[in-house]
Amino acid sequence: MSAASAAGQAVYEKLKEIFGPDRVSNDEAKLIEYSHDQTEAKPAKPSFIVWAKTTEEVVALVKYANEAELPITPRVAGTNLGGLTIPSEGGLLLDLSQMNKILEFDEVEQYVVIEPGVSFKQLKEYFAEIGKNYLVSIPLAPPEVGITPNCLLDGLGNLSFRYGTMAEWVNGAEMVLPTGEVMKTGSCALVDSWHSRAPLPDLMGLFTNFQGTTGICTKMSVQVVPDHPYRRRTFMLTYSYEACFSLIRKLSRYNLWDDIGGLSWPTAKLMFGVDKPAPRDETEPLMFLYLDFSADNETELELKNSYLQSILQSERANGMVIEDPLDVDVLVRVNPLFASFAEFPTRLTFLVDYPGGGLSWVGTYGPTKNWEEGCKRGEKIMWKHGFPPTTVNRPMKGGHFAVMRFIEIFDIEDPDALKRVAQCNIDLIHMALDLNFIPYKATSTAVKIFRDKIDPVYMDMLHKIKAMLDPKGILNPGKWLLGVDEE
Amino acid sequence: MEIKVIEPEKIVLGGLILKAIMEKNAGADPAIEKKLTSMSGVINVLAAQMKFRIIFEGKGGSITIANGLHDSPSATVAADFGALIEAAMGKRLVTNFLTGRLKIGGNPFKLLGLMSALKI
Repeated sequence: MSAASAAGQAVYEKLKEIFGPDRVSNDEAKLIEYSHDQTEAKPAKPSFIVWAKTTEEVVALVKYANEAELPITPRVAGTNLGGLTIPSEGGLLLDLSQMNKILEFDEVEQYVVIEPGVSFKQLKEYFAEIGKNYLVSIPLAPPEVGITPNCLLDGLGNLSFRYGTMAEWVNGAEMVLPTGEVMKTGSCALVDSWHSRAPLPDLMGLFTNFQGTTGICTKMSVQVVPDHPYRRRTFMLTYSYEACFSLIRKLSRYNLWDDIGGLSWPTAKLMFGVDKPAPRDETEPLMFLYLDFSADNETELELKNSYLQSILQSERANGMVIEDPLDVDVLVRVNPLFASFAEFPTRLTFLVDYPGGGLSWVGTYGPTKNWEEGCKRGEKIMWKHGFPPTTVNRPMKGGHFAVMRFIEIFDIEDPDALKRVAQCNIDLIHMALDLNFIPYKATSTAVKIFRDKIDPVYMDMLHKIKAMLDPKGILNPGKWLLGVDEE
Repeated sequence: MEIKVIEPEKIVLGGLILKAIMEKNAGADPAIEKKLTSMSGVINVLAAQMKFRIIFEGKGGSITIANGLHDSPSATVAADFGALIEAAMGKRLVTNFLTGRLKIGGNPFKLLGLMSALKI
């Protein structure tokens, strides 16, 4: 729909009525900026971008979109790497980044109530300003990423080993439904407190992991936890998947750590300027296992460190080859880029600012027992498509399940690279499903692959939920493919 | 000062680490750059299992890092990763040498010339 057309002009006038002239745009450069992300997902230009500041504006937009049958795509930073905030061609893009108030901090019950535009960086600065040492689990994503979308997309953060996925931190929310009604879920639905989702029937599940297709969040209560003054972040080099993952599983049995993970060797090469490395020499480390732990005093920190040393000693006695832990501040002295692992939130410039501009991934949640096989198969698939096997792995919530993620960086202007990334991701998704790993922040490509394998009654229920909440199918079509007209 | 790498896509991680440290130190201190570019010969490095060599052209010439070991090096240093990092930090040199975690061969004065360039 062109703004120059009569229909387009009518939409423009209505949007200006809701948002004011300064918060509506159909500027071509802006439309292009919002039409794509860093992945291989096909761009699509919206007809208008609007910036909301209040729940009332979101409600007015949604009601109008229903009347006019215009699709809406909500977004904050747009860095989800799954095409999930690419709008429908000619649709409306709802930018929530200016809806960024921290509405409440309850220190006794340990939560904040925030608007959708509040970023991880903003929340950290807020606590620093008020002199309070609290934090939330922070992803390896740019600091301007919104907390609310990250929770709704159920991503992971640097406290996910201890606390689980981001959705676990949610106490409740205010949601604008696709029909324009405003609903609260969680304790806030009944009492003047946002302290928990229990004990009412938990309707957060109607919105979590639905990729923004069933509601627009306008407020969310997110748990925060006390920060600890003493922290150690350390890396251990291992030479096989078996060594790395069996050590991760062993460490996971101890409730002492904040974060554990395994990064594959291409990440290190990338940090030293080699973005297209040849296959690894057998003498080189294969995986970098990182471990993050904190304490309230030095005695506690040393006690945790001594546990780590005794675990390493025991594993080495069983023949495992593991290098001594290297603290991140030592690594920073070797290469300043390691500072991006020293403090969160962080910007992994060697990934997000890669000169080619392209960044994509397949991220999955699955059983830790299949990690080794998954990484071995994933390695072959990535090389087959011309990508070094860059992987990130994390045990989640005490090691109850795993994250296995494969990352590609590429030249986004190169059509051949786009094809290779797309096919590589398809092959990785098939492989992951074969080993019981499920894509999180699932792209529409992933949905197309697994929807026929899903329990049919479950799938039918997803369709019913979508139809009930969004009868006109206006909210973020083309993502979960649950709408009547979506293929 | 830029240190060259033979086949950079294949160079082992230990070589990349050493290159980064040397470039950083030489960039910060012209005396270190002068010392490095005046050195000649080859130093073999065994970092954990990784094997690479540093080739000094001498007389203000280039410095190159390559995979593999030279048959007749001027000096050799071999250590596990932790001992190498400790050496770069100036820690536990004697202890690691006496316990065999850090091994030195050939002309030790060649290695002395390198020490200031490898500090982190």
